[in-house]
Amino acid sequence: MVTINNLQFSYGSHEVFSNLNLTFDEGKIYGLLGMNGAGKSTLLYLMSGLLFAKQGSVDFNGHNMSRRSPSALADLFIVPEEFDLPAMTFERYIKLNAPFYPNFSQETLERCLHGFDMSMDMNLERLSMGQKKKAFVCFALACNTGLLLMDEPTNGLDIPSKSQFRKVVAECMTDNRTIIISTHQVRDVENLIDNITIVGNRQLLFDMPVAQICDHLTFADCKLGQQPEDAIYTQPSAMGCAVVCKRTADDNETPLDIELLFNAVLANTESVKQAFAVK
Amino acid sequence: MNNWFNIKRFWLVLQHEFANARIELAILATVLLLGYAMPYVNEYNKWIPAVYSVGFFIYEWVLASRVFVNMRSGTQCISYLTMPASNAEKFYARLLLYWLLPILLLLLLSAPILTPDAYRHKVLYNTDLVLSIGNAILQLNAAVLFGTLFRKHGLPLLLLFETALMVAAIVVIICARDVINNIDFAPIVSIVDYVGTDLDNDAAMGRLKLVTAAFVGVSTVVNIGLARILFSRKRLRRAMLNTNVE
Repeated sequence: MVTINNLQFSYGSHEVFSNLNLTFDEGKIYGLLGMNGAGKSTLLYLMSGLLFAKQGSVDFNGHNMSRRSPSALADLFIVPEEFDLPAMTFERYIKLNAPFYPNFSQETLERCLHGFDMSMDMNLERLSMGQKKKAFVCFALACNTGLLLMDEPTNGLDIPSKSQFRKVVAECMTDNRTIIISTHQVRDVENLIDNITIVGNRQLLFDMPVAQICDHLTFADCKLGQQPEDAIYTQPSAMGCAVVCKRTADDNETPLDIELLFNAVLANTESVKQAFAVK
Repeated sequence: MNNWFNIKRFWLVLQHEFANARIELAILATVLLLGYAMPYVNEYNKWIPAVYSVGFFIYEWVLASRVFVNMRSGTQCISYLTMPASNAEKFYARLLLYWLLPILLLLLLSAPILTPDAYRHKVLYNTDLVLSIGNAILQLNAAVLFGTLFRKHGLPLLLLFETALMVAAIVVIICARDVINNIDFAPIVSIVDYVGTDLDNDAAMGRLKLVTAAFVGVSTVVNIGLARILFSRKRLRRAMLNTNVE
């Protein structure tokens, strides 16, 4: 479990987080959303001990991450948006890096590679960016760390690989691990994430399990001028307009539209939060 | 779990370091090979120690500029800093590769057991084996420290800085030669030797060795201690902050 307490962080005079409090539980896949520059990547780096908070703390299973202790790092893996892989064979890379992770599983690695239609027999230097990303994601999942952080993991993946990615991640999910995916490509992680966390304006804007969101809100398209009066948020769409409404007892559950929810939270955070106050 | 230093983790870091240090190892092998072969291809003359000392010094510049070669970009920093090992393990692994290994190989090269013509190799590095090793250790100490200080800037700034230091040291030594009466600083002893200091005198040589040993000992502790502090988490934090993280 990751606990963020009263986190304050800034780049020089530019404050990114102010008194941020947040918890990430085990057994869940979190979708971390936010506008450009909101601090999504910064939050991942703070969680992995790469950056240190000005005030407050980030704890992972009792470890203060700013200490970056080897025992905490051995149970954590970060897949950055851009990364460097050394010029060597994948097998050599595994041989050099896997021993650092006590829960590494060769079987999981082979299963993940199979999921992406890849094999162990490859030279990292000769791979395309997308192939490198798939290989790195496979290694990250095979490390079986308690906390897996992924920053824009589907960037650079082709269309079939995006669905393969969802399948592979879902297969590797267990009850004692936490996966946090920071992304702008919300369609790529739909049906994968269990919880949506939105950051912005130096604080946590929204943090709710998907099941609870679907329980309290409805997402629908309607013709222009016919939007419900009690709509929390409305935006133009191909059909006319897309609306987010508070769900009543008579309403059927609708599929979650992450993009619409994200826009609603940014435009009208308080109204969205009020929808969860009383059903 | 010992979070400060664990020998098993240290061995893993070391393997990692060696796997990513092909250029450094290639340079080291070349320097040593040249050093070993030089007396056989040239008749010994007083230029050889000076030439080899300058060559070794240049090698140190290159080596020092590469101590943090895998921390120059944000992406490199991320993979290195999140490697599950302590800062101490990472630092000492690097120290071993960039400091201890060249010294050990230099000793090995100078050892009579490996070199049938040991005298030639002794004179290759300096007029005395102890002084030559002291010379090498001092240069390597500086390399470790400069590598840490100039992590971001690489070779050009190091070259300027070390050249300025070397010129200043030579000027000081030459000017103060008469004052200190036959006791010279070991790092540039071969150059001093070349410009004519008389080291044939046993007493002078004894004093020189003593001063060299003390200087090497103190500078080793101070330089490596400083480098270790500079390698601390606050410095590493700066490494991350200098990258484009948003």
